[in-house]
Amino acid sequence: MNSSPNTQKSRALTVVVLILLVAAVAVVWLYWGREPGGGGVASSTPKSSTTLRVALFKSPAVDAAQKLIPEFEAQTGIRVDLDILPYAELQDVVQTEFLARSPRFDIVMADCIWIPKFADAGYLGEIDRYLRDPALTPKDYNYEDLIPSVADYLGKYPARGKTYGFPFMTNSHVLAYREDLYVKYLQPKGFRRPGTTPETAWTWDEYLRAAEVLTMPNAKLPGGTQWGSSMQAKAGAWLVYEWYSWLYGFGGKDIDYSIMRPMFDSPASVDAIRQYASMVGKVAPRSVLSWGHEEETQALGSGLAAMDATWNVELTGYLLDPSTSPHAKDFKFGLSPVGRSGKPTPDMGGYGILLSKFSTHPQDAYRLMVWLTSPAVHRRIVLDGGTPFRYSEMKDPEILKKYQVYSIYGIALENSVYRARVPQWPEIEDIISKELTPVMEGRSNPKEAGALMTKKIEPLLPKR
Amino acid sequence: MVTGIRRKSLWALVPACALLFMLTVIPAVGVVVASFFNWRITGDITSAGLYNFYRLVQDPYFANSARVTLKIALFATAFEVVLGLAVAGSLEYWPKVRNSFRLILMLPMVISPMLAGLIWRLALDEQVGMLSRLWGSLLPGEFYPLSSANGAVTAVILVDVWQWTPFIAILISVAWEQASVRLLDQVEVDGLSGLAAFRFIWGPVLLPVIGVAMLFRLIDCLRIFDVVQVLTAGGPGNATETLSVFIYKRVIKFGDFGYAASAAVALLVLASIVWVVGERMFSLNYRGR
Repeated sequence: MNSSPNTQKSRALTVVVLILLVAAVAVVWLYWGREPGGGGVASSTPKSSTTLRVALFKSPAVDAAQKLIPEFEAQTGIRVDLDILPYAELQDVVQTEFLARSPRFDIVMADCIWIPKFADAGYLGEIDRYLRDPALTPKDYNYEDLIPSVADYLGKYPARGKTYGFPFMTNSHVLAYREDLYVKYLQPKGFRRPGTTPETAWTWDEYLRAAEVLTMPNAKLPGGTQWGSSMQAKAGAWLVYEWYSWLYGFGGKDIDYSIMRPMFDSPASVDAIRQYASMVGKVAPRSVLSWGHEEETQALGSGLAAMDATWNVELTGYLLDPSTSPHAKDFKFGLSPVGRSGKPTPDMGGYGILLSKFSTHPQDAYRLMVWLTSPAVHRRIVLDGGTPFRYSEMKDPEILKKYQVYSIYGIALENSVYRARVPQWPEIEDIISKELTPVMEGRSNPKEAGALMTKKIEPLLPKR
Repeated sequence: MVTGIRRKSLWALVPACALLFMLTVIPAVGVVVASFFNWRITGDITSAGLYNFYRLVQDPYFANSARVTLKIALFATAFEVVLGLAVAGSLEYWPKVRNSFRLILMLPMVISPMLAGLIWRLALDEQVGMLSRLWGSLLPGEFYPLSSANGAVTAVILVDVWQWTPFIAILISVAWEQASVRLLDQVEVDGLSGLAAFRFIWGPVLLPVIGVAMLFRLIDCLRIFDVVQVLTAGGPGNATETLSVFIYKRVIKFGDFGYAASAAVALLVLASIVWVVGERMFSLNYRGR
């Protein structure tokens, strides 16, 4: 009965070979036997020859669009799979696919600051010829209805002079404040109401003084203090996006394009660093250094912070939702403070939906992009939590009734400033973030930070 | 006959070796090769010679990342060894609860580092976090674990210690238990107790185990990424930007692949040095006895 060691070894070898065979079959079945485009959004549409895959990130506009996709599928017979990723993962996933020249995604939702990099690397598909084709872009699409600055910033890359997509979720800064606190604490001290036109908007000085009044160390809150201002000063895009409104507000600028030189060491830019950093610990908690979008919203919604000069309009749906924001009914909006130029200078953000260069169905993908951003469909997305980018949406009575903030949003978008639209932007942003944070912590001073930003960013800029 | 069996056994190793080659050797060689090229997301790939390494030496952000990584690795490993030894020692004194306690100790280890980072981010939240509330009610002063440079580094070390002290404790505990079976008589015959028993009997036996555990943790800490990314994203500023975060940013955000590869090579060299020095130190010690 006892088998020899040789037989035992042979059996072991047979088992190993069998396991490997099973594993090989499993791999083949998983990767080659799968129906193309499996997973994603369930659809009752009959099987179509085309499946579009779209990479997006979880946001109010995407939630709203997701509900409408079955209508597009029913109208066209094209199946749409949405890969809805957390914001933090979207860039990793999309860039990895692009780098591999993969056709996995036909359309990608891209943050405004990634567009120059993707366009310059040749990852985006040009849509100008489709825009001119009436069969693909019907007349009622009305491209002229798109706010030009937004259509440009979220759909084009000026250095190549080409269009790659459309705006999808816009963003800029406005001033958010609580009406109840204004009436109780600010009005008696002679503060005028934050204005909704460039002529009546608060100045930065008024904002800082009002924030000081509203900072109450003994308020009955979990943190023990009501702070005058909310912020999002977490290292990275959050901090830099917010600070840019201050930079331009105080008369500074990032780059002098005529000589291709960073201007962060100019007196106005240094003043912007000083004023912004002065908020921390004085009218905003020191913990803002770890706050991003969510924490900024929670602080306002919970009552921990009273105002925000750089409120992200894209998050207004969350702020006005009574289930997450106890003071939802008290929030009012004005234009962000005017700077030395006499105009508000909010920093434009937002996301475009862009055609992938590697899409295997570029025309169908374009059809979906047009459909999602068309006047009729996008209006519904805005009503369900998205942000507008069409003139018609800014005047729509139903939209304005639901979201008061959009009555001033058009002015904010038209006056918005841009972050540098160069492929090197991510590195520039990283340097600004790294040099600005120590000033807010008290470990560096504004002049030194401005000088270091300039010195480190200058070699990154293309030479003229 | 024996040779034939050995030959067949060697064939059985081929799939594993091939897999190892494909998944580790080829990418590692690829990274080394990439480090000699100017390879960015935009533009052509051109030869760079040693320029990427020259950039590394000149780059204050890389120097900062190396410092931060070493600080986190050294402090976290030191705390983990000391605490792990203390926990293992305690378990020796309570053999009845030893097995069940080891099981409980496993819990932090089986949580993914990403999830551990999230849990601690909530606990350390400076407004509503459990620990900040506790601090506020018990201790004077302000509590800024995530928004001050020193606080954030401490927070990363804390999470690593919380998650990996059990690993060291369990390794030492098991080794200690095994040694007890063989050496308890010697301890009793020599009449040693307490610190003397540890110094002359248990210490020398446990030292190689502690050494190996320490090396594992040290090298693991050198490549720490997930916890940092979730807890602080490298901030505030670049206070917790470890080498892995530095490399990640240059690959994913900046698309500067050649430069990122040179930083990865530097990390590989650093980890190899730690391993070679550590292994020699501990194995020499072991052989000497």
